[in-house]
Amino acid sequence: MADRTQRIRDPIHGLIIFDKDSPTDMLAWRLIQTSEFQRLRRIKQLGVSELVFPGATHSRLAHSIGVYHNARRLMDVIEREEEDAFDPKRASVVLIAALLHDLGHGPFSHAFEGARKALAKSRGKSGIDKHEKYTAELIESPDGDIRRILDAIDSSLATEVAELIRADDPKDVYHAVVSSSFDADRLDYLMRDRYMTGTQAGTIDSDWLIDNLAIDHIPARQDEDGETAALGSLPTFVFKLKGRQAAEDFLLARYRLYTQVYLHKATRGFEQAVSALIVRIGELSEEPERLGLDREHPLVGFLRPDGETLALYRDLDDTVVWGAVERLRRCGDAHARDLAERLWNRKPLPVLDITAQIGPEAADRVPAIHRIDQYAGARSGKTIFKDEATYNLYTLAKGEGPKEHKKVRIRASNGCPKEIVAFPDSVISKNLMNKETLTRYFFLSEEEKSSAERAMRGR
Amino acid sequence: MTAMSETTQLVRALVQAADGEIVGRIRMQKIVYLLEQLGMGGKFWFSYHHFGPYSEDLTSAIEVARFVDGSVTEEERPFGGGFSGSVSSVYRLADPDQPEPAALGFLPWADAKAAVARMKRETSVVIELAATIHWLREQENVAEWEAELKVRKPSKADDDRIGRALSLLRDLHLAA
Repeated sequence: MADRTQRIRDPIHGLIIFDKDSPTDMLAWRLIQTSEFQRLRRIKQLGVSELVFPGATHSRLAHSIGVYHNARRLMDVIEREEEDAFDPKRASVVLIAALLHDLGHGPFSHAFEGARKALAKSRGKSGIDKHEKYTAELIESPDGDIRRILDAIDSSLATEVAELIRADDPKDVYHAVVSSSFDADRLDYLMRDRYMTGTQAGTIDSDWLIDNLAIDHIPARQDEDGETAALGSLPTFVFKLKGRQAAEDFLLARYRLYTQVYLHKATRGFEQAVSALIVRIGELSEEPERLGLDREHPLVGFLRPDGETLALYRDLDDTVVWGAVERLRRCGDAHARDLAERLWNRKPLPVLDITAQIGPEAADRVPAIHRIDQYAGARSGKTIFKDEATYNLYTLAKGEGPKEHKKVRIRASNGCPKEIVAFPDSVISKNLMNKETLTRYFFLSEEEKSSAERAMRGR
Repeated sequence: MTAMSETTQLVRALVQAADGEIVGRIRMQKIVYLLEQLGMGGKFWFSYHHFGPYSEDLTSAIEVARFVDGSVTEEERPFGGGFSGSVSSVYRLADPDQPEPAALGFLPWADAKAAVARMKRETSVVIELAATIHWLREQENVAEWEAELKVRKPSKADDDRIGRALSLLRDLHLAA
């Protein structure tokens, strides 16, 4: 059958066209029709955020198609900058990686991974396979539709796409399209999440930003004892000087989304409830009838010790989890029943917001947290849930430090890339560079919350 | 003695075993990962993050050591002439004049000191690679670990650094 041009309407990007004369577009279209990709239609981008922002119902499928669309726009920048050196084959690999980058996400990703970690810890296992690993496996799996389609184009294509997904750091400028301070993924989810939640804070002028992108080489460094043993240089996107103000607005919009949407107290509470419920299913995976589930239920199978197979993972999506919640509401296990009821009928968990009550300074916060942790003891993770979210202007991650390729740089008037906050008239406060930690404790009863609060105050 | 204060004491002893100073969060995390593989017994749970194996338990324990126990300090030191983003965390003992314990967890003190001293001779990239190699081989059971290492860390995993990472693992008796 001859290829035909296809179109998708999207509230963020308008008309997304898959041109019949573009082999990559036609490949992307075929990949969208696979069962692996269609699974993303059943997984919401923002998980339980819809319990706080009712409009936040967009799927990972819509987001992934948006990322592909953005990736094409960013690739045009590279083609313009690279001129005759442009590598269309490499570009195609990156565009397909952009489309498939979220393939391996599970339902309620963050909550689900948290639960799997807790189960692995209790079972004496180290580490869990994260969604990036599942993405790579789904692409390379010889049983999958995706592999079959990619192999028909080129036998090394699946491997090249999977390698890009598995990389911790980008290795060339093409990779920057999917992994940089201004990559296709970030650009779509910020706009989409902002639009669908209805948040008005922050502005993203994507046309102007893309029009002011350039490529430059950034010296890559890492913790050193006074030496500057650089890792060579890293080609990535920078903004031209004219794009600086729009870039500041972009960073601030991202910052606002963290504080107002992703780290919203009530949302994090519901995530803890989902996580606790998943843990409970794992704990009772050999006696699922106590939860009103049968042994063949995909969640029961996956959460058994040694149950984490790709085949079972593929069967997991939001509908499977919500279906289980419906059963769990009526089951014999009181703990599961309570958690399920909170999710089903939207009953927020009582919360103790340490950062709000005690303040952001670690010297005050950490001792308070320590007192609560000691008070909680064995109830930690069972009826008392500690939630810590660390963020700053650049990164949502706790951990070991900023990723160089995620910093936003502007090409200054002397032609050298300079960090956006280094400009003397930057509207971004340097305080936003410091890691802010939001610590909240969630409880299943007001009484327990009050007791914990007294413990926190040393009473 | 509660479990939490044992862990806090371990963090203090660890900095002590490092002759009172560890530079960099990455180095701190990887040193602890490798010491755990040697049998330190701190029960820090690791999972794979951007810079290789990482433990949130350890990060929390360091915070407690800093702000509850007051035994460890963390100072941010800029490096490389970069802007504010290019800082390294330097961990030191608040009170350097402490008697040396007999052991670091379950590791005899002299062995622990020697291991940490050997690790400190390498850059944070090399120790990151060493910890990642060990993780790939022992935790993820990746047979073709060298190829996977180069996929995950294309700009870091050159032959010279991999060689130094393997040499470090051999010297620590953690090579396969």
